[in-house]
Amino acid sequence: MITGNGVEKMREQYRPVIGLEIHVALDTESKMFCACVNAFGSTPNTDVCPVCLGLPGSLPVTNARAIELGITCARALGGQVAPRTYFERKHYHYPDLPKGYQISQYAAPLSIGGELVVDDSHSGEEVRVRIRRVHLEEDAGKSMHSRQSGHTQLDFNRCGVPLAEIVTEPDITSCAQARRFLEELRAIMRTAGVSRVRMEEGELRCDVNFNLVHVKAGQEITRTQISEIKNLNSFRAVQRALEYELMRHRSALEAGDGLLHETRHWDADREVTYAARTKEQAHDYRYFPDPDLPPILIERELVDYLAAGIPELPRARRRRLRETWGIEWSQAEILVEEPEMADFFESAIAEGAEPSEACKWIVGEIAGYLNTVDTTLGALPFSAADLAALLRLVEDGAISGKIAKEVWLEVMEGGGSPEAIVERRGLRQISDDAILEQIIEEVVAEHPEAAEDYAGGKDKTLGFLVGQVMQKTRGQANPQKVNEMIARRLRGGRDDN
Amino acid sequence: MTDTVAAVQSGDISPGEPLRRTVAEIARHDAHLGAFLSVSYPDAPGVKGPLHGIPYAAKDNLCTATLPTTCASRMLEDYHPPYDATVIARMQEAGAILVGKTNMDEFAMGSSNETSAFHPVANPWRPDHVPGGSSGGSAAAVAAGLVPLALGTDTGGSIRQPAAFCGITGMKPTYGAVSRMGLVAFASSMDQVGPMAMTASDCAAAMDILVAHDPGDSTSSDHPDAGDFLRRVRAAPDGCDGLRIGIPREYFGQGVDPEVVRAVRSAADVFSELGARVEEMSLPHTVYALPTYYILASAEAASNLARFDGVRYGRRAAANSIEELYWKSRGEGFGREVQRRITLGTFVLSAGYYDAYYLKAARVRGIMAGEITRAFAQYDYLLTPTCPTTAFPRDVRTEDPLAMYMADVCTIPANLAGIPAVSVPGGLVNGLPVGVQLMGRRFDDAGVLALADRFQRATGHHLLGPEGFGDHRERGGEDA
Repeated sequence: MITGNGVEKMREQYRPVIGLEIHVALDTESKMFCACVNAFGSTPNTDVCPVCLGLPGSLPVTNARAIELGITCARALGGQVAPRTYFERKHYHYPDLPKGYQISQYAAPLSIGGELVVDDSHSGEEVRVRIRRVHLEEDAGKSMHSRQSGHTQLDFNRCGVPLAEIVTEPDITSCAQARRFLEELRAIMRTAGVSRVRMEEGELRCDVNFNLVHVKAGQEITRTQISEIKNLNSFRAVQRALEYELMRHRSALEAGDGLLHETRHWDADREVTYAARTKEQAHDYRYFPDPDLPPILIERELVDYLAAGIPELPRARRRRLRETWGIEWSQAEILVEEPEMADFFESAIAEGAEPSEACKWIVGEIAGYLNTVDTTLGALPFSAADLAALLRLVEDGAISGKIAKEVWLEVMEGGGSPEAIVERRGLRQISDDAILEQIIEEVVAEHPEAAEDYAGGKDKTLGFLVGQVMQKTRGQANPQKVNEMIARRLRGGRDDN
Repeated sequence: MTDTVAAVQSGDISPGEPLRRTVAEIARHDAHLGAFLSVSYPDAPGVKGPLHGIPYAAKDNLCTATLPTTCASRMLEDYHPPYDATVIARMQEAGAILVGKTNMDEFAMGSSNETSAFHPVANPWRPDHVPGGSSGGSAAAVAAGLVPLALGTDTGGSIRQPAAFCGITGMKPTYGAVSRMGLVAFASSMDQVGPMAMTASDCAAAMDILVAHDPGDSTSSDHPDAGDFLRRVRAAPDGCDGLRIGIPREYFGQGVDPEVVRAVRSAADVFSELGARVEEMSLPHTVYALPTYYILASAEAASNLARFDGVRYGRRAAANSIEELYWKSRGEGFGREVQRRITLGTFVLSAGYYDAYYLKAARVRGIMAGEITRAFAQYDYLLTPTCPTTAFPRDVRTEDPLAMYMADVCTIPANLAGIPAVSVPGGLVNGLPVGVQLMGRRFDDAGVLALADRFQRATGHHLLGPEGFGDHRERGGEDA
């Protein structure tokens, strides 16, 4: 006899096994091993010195700030920071790697262990992804290949930019989950101040490991070999590449092919992965401790001090914002993705704003505006107190919601207090009965048929009449009030409850 | 040299006078010696400082903004660094005048100066003999009186061994005492810059300039004992009362010339007569020094030399692909000995061999360093030969790398342990100088130099010079 549960067990399943290696650029002033500025977008090969160019005789000196941010990163993910760690040299030849090796960590990473929990907003499912390790390393330069000339141009500005590499256990079980993980990681890195994670500047890059397990009746039948897809630099690319791999691995399994363990690249234009050249497949990096850099001893006190400085992390904050202020899950997600935005929200509430209104305005108007301008919330010329003042004006009936949007746009663009803008531009709503009565009389006189129709019971005409009043007052009449007054004037208050 | 400094400072001679002498000596002798790879004579006699007016030469693996830095390699034949090594900058601030860059074994890999890609260096004592290496050009330049002071670098004996072969005094400081910033790395965990001069006190005067904490070198130390060398050497008493000197018997094994053994014994007698307690002792792990060194130094060298790929600077071969560019540039740019060490170093770091070679050698290094540290609980200094033999004729060992490597067997332990060591002249054997090595505790560089100075005051071996060269030496010793 087969129960429902038994049927479930008999089902064939293809279970993805996904692990991620994420490189996050640390938000330091200077590079990892020299005093060059850690900046993006400079003229090629101007943010360089003998050290990051690996000139003969140059020596690295570790940037203490990078170590601190690495510790913060590790602690924000719940990792155990090693009391003693050291850098090693990872050897490979590539034109944008000036020393012929990258200073990285291997046998003694900065931290081991940890966990990142992802809430799936749709299923409400909680996915726990274990972190294997966090280590520090320097970035390489950039190679720009010209298809026309066949030449490669090298920019060494990025050489020596500090990176934290975060390696997960293969605990991720779907392509969407991988993307969700990365979004959560980005929010954590931003909240903890580890990295600004500007995707367009390559501040988060990801290698994914993928293979597929064929399960039948709860038993593993077979599995494919692991594919490593290198250097994905957007969440979309990660998800699309994984979806492609899922398809590829599944077809292979169905054809009875276990595939080869191989390194692959993502072609973003054609949306396919392709195998790296055989030379790139077999790596012997010949790691050994970098003799230029003595081991780093990390005191417990420093770890505790840095951990204590980590603000409330996104997941906890989302939950608290929802529970305390009753906002939607999706709104909490948007607010918390940029810690500044959530801070702004909470400040606005502290300034007296009504939470759901404040949230609506931040998630709608402010987030929308930020998408159109290339800047951050903190750089804009207004405060949470301004938003609270604006909402107060609406609540008091001094301005309509429509006028409020107009006023707020001016605040966002040029600053200034909402009250002052309303006064200067004369936008305060007309609520004075005597004035409104006079205008209604004018409208009735100008549109006798419409007035007649409405008086005769044709409700739809009310909108037309109110519109006429609004036009005459250039939108400043309180529409609610105009409604009531027209009804009273033409129907003698019959509909006026 | 210290007398010249005093003469300049008192106004007895003009600050330009020592430079004029050096210019004349280089012009007269260097065509035969081959000690220099580049020369440059500034107009100004240097700034006023502790070494005001003193001309000096620097080994060609120290980066100089004013002169090419070739490491005696085709790879860097036309390389002009954009900056000065910390030691070069410090010498300039002290008033010393850089007159040229000296020949060496390619990338400091060699013990005879024969791996220089450009030309060999003659030993001033016997021109068809090698000057030692890898700082052979610096040693020959000082021994022939071309300059009173030269900078060398020492990874496995490259200051001390040529100093011994050329009959001068050469000091390898404690690892971390002198900045390595701007020294083109061979084996980073052992490389040290040090002075080569006629006397221990001249070396001490140079050490006063060279030794300083450099925040640009993470392995540079700020040890409080690292300074004030010349004053401490001069303040040391003539005798050696109370000093305990050990003679490790492992340094007298197979291949050590009996005449060299005799020179070291007679040095031991000198110290005994000066009041030291000198006795034989044992450092059993010394026998592992040579293989340990060749594994570790080659591993680091293979890594350090990975940057020479023809992409950004240095030799760039014509090629159609990036792989071909690497392959040909490195093949053309590196000589045989350098290629041999890169191959060896790459092998010992490779997957499957790392544990058996690199890791094991790193452990043996730790054991050896521990053994030496423990020995210094009982002894203040160790006395050994600098090299098993005196200078050998050119070409006889070039086809036998292992015989060549034996030349470093006595000097390597100090590099593995990071301790200071000096080679001082110990007399002549068959007309060639013998070197005697003194080693001390980490950061007792001043003590090592003071002991060498006492030996020189007692013996005068350092006053012997090769024939046929102008006299740049200070025969100031009253007992000369």
